[in-house]
Amino acid sequence: MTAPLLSLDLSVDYRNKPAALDGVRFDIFPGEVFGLVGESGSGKSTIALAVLRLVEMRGGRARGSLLFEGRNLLALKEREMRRIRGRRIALVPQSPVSALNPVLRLETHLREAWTAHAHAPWRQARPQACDLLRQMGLPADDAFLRRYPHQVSVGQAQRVLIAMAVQHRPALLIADEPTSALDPASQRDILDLLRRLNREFGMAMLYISHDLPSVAALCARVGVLENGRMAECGAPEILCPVDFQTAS
Amino acid sequence: MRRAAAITLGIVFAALLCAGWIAPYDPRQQLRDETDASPSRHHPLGTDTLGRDRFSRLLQGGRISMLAAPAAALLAVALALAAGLVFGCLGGWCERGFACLTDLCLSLPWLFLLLAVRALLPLNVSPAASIAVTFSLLGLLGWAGPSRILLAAVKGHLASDFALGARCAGCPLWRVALVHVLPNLLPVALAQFLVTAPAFLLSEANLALLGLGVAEPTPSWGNLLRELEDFSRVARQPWVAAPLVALALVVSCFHLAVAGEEAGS
Repeated sequence: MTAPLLSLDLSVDYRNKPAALDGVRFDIFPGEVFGLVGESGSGKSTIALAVLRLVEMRGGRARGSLLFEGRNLLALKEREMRRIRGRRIALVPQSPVSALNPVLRLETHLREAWTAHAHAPWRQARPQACDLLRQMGLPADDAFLRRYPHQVSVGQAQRVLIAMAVQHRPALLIADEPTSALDPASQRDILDLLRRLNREFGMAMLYISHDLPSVAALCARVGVLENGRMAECGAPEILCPVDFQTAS
Repeated sequence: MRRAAAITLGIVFAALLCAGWIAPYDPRQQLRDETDASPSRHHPLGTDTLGRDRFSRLLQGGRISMLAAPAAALLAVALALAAGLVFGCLGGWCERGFACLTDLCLSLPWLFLLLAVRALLPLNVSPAASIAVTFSLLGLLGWAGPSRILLAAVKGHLASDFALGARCAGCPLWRVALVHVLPNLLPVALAQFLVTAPAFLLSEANLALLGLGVAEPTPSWGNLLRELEDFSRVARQPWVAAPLVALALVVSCFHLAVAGEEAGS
């Protein structure tokens, strides 16, 4: 059996909510899609932030161990951690509307995500980024890149965010409820896109959602969070109708 | 309403820019045989006790006030913006210390402090030096109010989803501050500028009334108000109040522009 890509044993305390996560433990193997379900407030998004070591930005503190590619992320210096964010572990956020800066053009968003880790100038990387956008079914012409976030649909904005996240071909993609703000048709498209990224780039994925059918369709293994603890963990079959009611 | 205010400000600025052509006389020229004259075709606002043309002095004084007060406001808001960004990003003790310093600055008696600092400088400074000193004092001491508002805005934007997204993409904090947060602050900074500029116009008028603003013989809207000290005269010669009208008009236009700014955004 191969070594896990991410092996996590994590507790997180917020100032006004101690033990928001209480000893949550699971592994993600290379190329695997791991699903995480649970009611709102059960700590799903906190896990996403804690893996990137950004819960401090929301006033939290993480304890435990967070082994990624053989290194404990919690022990890394901030500078080393920055080299991992966006390059080895990337995040697709929950609501595409607020995750894009309203005053910056789409191209600026892609350029910023690129230059955070690349030394090559953006002019050289631009054609690749356009290809990536085209693969995602977006019009990758100059007119589109010059648009502001409020000038594109929510589905398009979510694809731009996914493109930003996978530009550096991360080993692990965290998708934090990537479809909850979308209509059913774009939900299906985004799920297809994530499945394709997983297959083509061999990208492991932590798929957080409360849409159980999509989790069952996408994931090899599923964890159920309840009040900051891992209630169950196993094959997607554990999401049978009985659990359906407790989880949603 | 906002448009009317902006147009009025535009007309005033245009008139002040062309003051060299519009003004019939040199503002310092003393017409000894026409002192204290009533308005006439040659002197639309009459002349003062030294025989200087009031209309020319109003235009020239406006030029100085309307250039220097916005420049000082720009300086104050720029300082506040820089401080807000730096201390907002540093956070923790640095930010709390900075907030204390801001509170301290806001709780000082302003007029008294300006008087004290101005009194430390020699009284008989040249007019150019007096303009520079008065307005740079205002600019350097006026950062506290705007910086408090801008610091709060910086904190708000740093906690936003898009700043979090930029951190997740691996952008360093300084880059998040400059590329992602700064453009979002510009509307707030503009509104602060539109509030601060008229406040500085009025501060200069207050200082000038005490003889500590822009020095004679150079006119400013502040020191032209000294003619209003004698109240009975205003009743006899109402045109003396022209600088007051101009000042009130410009200040209310600035405030109306801010009100529109807030309603518009």
